[in-house]
Amino acid sequence: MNGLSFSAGSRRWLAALAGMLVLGVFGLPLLMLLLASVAGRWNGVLPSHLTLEHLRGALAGDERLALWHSLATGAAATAFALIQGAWGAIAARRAPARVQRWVDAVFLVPIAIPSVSIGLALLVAFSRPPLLLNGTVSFVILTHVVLITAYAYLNAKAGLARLPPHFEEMAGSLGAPPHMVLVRVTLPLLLPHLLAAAALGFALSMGELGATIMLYPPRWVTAPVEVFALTDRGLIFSGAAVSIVLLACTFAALLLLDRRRPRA
Amino acid sequence: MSAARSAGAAWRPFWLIFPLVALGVALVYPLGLMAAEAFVTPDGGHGLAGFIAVIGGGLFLGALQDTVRIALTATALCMFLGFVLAVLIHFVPFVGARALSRLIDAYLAFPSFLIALSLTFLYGNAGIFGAVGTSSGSSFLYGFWGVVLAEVSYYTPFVMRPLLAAFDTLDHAQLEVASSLGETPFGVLRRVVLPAALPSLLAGGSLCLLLTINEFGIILVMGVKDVTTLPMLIYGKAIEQFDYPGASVVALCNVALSLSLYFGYRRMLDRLPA
Amino acid sequence: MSDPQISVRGVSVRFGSHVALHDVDLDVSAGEVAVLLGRSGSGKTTLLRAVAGFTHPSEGRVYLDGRDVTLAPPHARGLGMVVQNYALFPHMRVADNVAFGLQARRRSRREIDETVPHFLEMVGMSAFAQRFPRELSGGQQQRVAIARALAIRPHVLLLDEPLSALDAPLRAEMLEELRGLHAKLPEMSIVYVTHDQTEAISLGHRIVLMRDGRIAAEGSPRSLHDEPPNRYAAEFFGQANLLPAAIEPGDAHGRLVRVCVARQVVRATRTAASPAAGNALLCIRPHDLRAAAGGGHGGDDNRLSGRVHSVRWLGATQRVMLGIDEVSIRVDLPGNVEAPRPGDPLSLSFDPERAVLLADT
Repeated sequence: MNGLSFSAGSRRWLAALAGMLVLGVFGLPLLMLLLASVAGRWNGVLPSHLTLEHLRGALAGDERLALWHSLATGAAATAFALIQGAWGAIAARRAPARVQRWVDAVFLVPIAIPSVSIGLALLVAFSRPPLLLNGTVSFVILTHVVLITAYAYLNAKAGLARLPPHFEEMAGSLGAPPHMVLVRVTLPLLLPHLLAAAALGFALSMGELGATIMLYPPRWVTAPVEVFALTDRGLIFSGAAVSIVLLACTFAALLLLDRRRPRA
Repeated sequence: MSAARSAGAAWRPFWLIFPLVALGVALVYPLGLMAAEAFVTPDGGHGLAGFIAVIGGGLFLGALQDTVRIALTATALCMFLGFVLAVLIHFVPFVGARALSRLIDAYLAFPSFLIALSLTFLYGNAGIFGAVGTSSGSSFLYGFWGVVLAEVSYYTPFVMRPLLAAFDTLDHAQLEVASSLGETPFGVLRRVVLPAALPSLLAGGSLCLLLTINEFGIILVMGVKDVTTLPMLIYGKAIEQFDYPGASVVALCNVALSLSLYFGYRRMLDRLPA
Repeated sequence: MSDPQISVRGVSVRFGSHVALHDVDLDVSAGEVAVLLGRSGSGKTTLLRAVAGFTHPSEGRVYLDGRDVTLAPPHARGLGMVVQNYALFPHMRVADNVAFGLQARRRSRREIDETVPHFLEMVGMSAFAQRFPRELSGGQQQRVAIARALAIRPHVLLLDEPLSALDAPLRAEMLEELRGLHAKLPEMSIVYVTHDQTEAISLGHRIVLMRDGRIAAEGSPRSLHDEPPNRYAAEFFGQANLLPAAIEPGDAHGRLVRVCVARQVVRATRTAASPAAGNALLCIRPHDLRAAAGGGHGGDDNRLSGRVHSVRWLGATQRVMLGIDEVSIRVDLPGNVEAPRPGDPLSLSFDPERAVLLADT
């Protein structure tokens, strides 16, 4: 009952094809990463000498520090980006269409341009007075805020467009001043969209490499940079192990935010 | 929006000042300085000499060519594979198809360079297929097709998502009438489903093109030697050679290319039926 | 052609544990218009979809032109089909929509160029060949959908609630056009699914009344109306009065029998569906009852008397609710006679040939 009347035989065949394609394209890479993270050696078709050493290594020393840096950067950048993005979307909400188009354009530029270019631009700008930030931790956080604010703005804007219109009018008609409408009505209604934005922003920050690698200070190596550094030195199994832990942290955070999300 | 306007609530530009100032300092100011940096001459003055030297150089033209070739090839393959997979997931119900389409959403939060890393284990010199295949020389992975393969694996879901949304709004009665008129399932796909989903396919494809042009992590982590892309060139000039003016020239061109693609993409999105 | 055009034999359709169609038999001969009538969920659409090939029977066979097509995919069945929302292809012009089936059959350019205008003209849409569907009104879209289905010259045309998206005046007009169309293509069988009895009566040679996945009654509109085989059919058509009645002992044979209704004895007709004796239902239409004048002579001796509950004037008729003992009766009296007042006593007479007895189930 789905519109295309394949015969039963070809339907089975096509379902098998679909399963194989999906597993091959999306499942296999993840599986490889998992296997590599416990591989002792990988000379044949499959790895041998399975070991937990790499995973243990990923939770100790520099690797552990890098994970901590990523988590801290992700949390801080997400918080700032959320404020900036939501503020922008709410403030531009009732603006004339022409103004909105311009605000959109400025907010969404970081989605469009390569992160390496953003990294370079920040590097050029903040390595000189009056704003000398190069070498500081806040520089990395600022970079991530710039990169993920666009997504917060997009989500907040989409949420505002879908807001049921009468609640705010009703609150206003009951005598609530604008700031009270915002705090008591608009923001709570917007919350699911803001949490979705937070989840996406955090995940993007956790995996950010292009801009970070241009400007990270040596004492604030993030997990993706650490993965690159390890694999560049030929320590690919350790790199895989850090990746797995990085992914696990990201998904744990996503699940946590997803659970907080009120269901419609 | 019309509802907001009918509420009579006024727009207060004052509140827009704060986020715009923040964006100005953190984004517009750096991009402006970078643009200015692109026109710094080797002797420290300003002029077009350095800019023209980089633009006309073989390195830049080669990188531009590689970037566009990789992006176009990967995008075409993503659109093909994405269409096939979206059709299979939507029209051939199999166990877990629903869960799968949700998994695809999660996949979008996966950092791209991890794909490069995992492909190393699949096709690299030490990987599964590397062990089976020819032992002579390096794998195809470290060249053009390796990058394309990684980008296709990573960016196909970006094409599938709008397609699956488009299929959900498709009127199934049309497909049934088409087959009652004598069209085979593949004919129905070609003559009814494809035209209906074409705007979404093109929108997904142009997003994919934009993202593959901007892709950096995959190429960096894979350690590709044979091809250089614009983002790689920027990284190389800035971090390995400390040539900020040169890097800025490349970045400026890359930004111009990406922005024009992006605004084309948004125009296409606006024309999509909601 | 001795074989029926469509033959459905013992078809059941199950969706999981739900039985949508239960052991249905149906034959439609060439040139016949069969209307599948029923409420939503009665199985009428499932039966149509089983004929079209979109639903596979769990049991039973489907034959078209004597050929077993039970497992054939829809595109191999060669049926014309029109659905409720028309389902015109939005990206194709009207002419391309009509040409769709011919192209799917790889017909020559020349044949297509001749056929498409012919069928567009048949539905009166020649002037709109180059329009897109979104530029047409609902009725125009429906005409194009019909031309598209006819262009493949099917032996069988399936129509699934084709008029339900149109407003009432347009519906009546399209109904006339469908009748005219069938007159032009007299060899074509039509299966028409609807929940509307007016459409069913005005279009169908035969009405198949469906209920809970089974055929509840089947016959010409006239026979279903005048001699409903069961209570469901009687209630579905024209709000028949169904009065509890007892067949008088000793009246075991003969076409006309005496029955006792609310302690009054009247005469009624026995049909094949009537019980032999004992309790029954007296089925009589509101418009078959007349106000009886004064005494009781001649043909007016078959009467029921009661008290008027309420009167509603409806223009051509007035609907009187009459209470006789515990039962109440709907009566349609002509609108141009003086209305009885509530509380008045009223006697009704009726032709015993117009009152049939049904099993009380």
